[in-house]
Amino acid sequence: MSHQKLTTILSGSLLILYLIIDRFTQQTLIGQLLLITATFTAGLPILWHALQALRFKVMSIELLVSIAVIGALFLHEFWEAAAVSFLFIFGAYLEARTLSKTRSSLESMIRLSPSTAVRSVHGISETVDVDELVAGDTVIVKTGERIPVDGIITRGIAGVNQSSITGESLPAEKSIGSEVYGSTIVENGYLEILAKRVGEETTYGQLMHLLEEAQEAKAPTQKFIEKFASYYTPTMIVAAVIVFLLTRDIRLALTLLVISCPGAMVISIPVAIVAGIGQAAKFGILIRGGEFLEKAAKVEIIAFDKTGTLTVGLPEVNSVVAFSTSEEEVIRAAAQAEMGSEHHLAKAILHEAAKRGIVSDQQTEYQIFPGKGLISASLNETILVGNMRLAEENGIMVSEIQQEEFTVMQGRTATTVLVAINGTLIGYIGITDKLRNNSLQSLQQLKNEGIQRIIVLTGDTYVSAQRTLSQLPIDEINAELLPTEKADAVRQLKQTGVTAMVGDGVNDTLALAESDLGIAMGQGATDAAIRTADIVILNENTVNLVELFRISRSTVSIMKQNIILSVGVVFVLLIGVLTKKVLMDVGMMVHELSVLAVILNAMRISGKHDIIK
Amino acid sequence: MEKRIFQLNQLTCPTCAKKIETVLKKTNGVEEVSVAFTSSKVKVEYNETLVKAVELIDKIHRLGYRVMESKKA
Repeated sequence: MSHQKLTTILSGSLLILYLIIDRFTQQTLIGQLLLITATFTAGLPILWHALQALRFKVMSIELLVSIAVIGALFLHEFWEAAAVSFLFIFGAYLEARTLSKTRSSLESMIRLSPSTAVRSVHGISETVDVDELVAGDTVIVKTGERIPVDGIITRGIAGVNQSSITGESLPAEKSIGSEVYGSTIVENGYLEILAKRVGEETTYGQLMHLLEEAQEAKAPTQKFIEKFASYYTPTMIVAAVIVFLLTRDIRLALTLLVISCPGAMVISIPVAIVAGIGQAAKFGILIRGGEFLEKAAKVEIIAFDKTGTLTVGLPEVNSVVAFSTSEEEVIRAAAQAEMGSEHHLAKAILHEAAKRGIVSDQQTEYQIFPGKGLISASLNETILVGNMRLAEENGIMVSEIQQEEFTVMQGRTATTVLVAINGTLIGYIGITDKLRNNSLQSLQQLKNEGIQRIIVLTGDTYVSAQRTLSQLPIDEINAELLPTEKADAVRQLKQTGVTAMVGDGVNDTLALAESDLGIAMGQGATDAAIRTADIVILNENTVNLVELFRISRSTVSIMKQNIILSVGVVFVLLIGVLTKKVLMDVGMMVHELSVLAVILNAMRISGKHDIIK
Repeated sequence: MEKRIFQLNQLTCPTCAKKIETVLKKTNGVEEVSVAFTSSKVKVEYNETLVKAVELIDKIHRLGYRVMESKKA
């Protein structure tokens, strides 16, 4: 049992004993002895702390309480002396307990990194401390164990629960060549992993570092209230002295000292922020500090970079139409022409060719027509892959039936590409970037949560973006933007309201930096995003965006409640003391209760939100 | 310049944090101190030729707080 707990229980029992004796007997002397013993049991540690601080010339709250208690003893107010000392240490004890509960969600995350690992050297395995691991080591992880490093699987297959990184608890299938992250759990299987990053270098290590920093970054509201508190205590001490000099009322002066600790005020904001950040972390949402939590609550406009956030980010061929030839031939020709191109539509075509087992490795020369397509030429064929305009400009005949087919296909897919060989149209390829499953639901919920406008910024053409996003409640699509233009667009949006930018951190870092609140989303972007964004969502589920705004709003409203509560209590106490309605013991109790109340209120943040399914 | 983080046992009254901060700041050789009340962590930047980590830990001890862990940042 800790020293603190022991003195609390001991002095508490003595007080109860006193109450019983006082009620049923006339033994005033025994009663007084009990109270004095209780005062000393609880009061000496307070006095000791006060004197220690005084040695360093620091005036502490313990000193004020000690003065009040000693004063009460001199006045023969034994009950008040005992009650004030007991309540002070009892309050401190309760606060420590409840506080450690708010922090437990964060701490339970920190404990996720394993302390030992099994390293394999030339086929011989040995158990070592994780601190001994270096990049290049091979580690073995079995069912039920946590992966100790970030690395690549060199052997084995397993289902890995990555909830510690992404908040997603459905196991991900991992096999040779897959990347795995430290702190994730092998649910079933066996893995040999080549370590790439160890210790604090791992994604998880960086997350923890960020979370710790986040707790310390002060929110604007916090700075304000701390300033208030720093004036409050000295003012109360001066007031106590003045009151004593004017009225010679020692009791009143001492009571003022008792209520001069601004505990509830100072704690009201940080405790809410820690709870908010901790709650968000459970969803794989990383908030860099209280400042951004407060800002998130004020967001009116959300700008999305379409690719990778609302859509999967990997365009796919979803339909092929062939005219008097095979689908394979259409794909082959297109792949042949697009070989070596970095355009994302080209990638989709090449991917489709690989999927169908079509190989074309003939060297060709090609000419790109930006925004239209390309034409490639080899010894015996000239292939055109592009849009209708490119086809028209090159005099390619499109019959009425083919034109109709084109219109039908355009209605079905985001982008329709024409393929022609030696001047003859041979088919169409439809390419679509799929919407993420949750995009519709999430955007609707965002609107319900009070987000006024949802804007999409994209490098794609307007028609293509419009087609992919047609089902979503989007207010405006801003298309064909270069990265710098995305940043410009964000700058303009900022003038009409508080703007958050959501991107995957690849092509939109400038825009993320420009926005009021940069939110990076998606696992692929983790590294780049961790550096630039204010908030990082570690998984690709847009539902967590809704969760972020909910958590931020409830945190901010709890912060407001806490300020009103703590400042209100101080004023009520002050009036109570000055009108002599509140005495020392009640003053101390109300004060301690108000501290507990703000902590408990903040704990509601963690209880409020259940994961949306 | 040396940077260290001390993990203390749970701080209760927010003024404790202020107290530790003030005392460490007055110490010769200490450049920067920040005490995170909620996480009960003390971050110190100090000149190791003027003051040693043990002396800082001792000061915190004498103020009545336990240092559970001390690590380089």
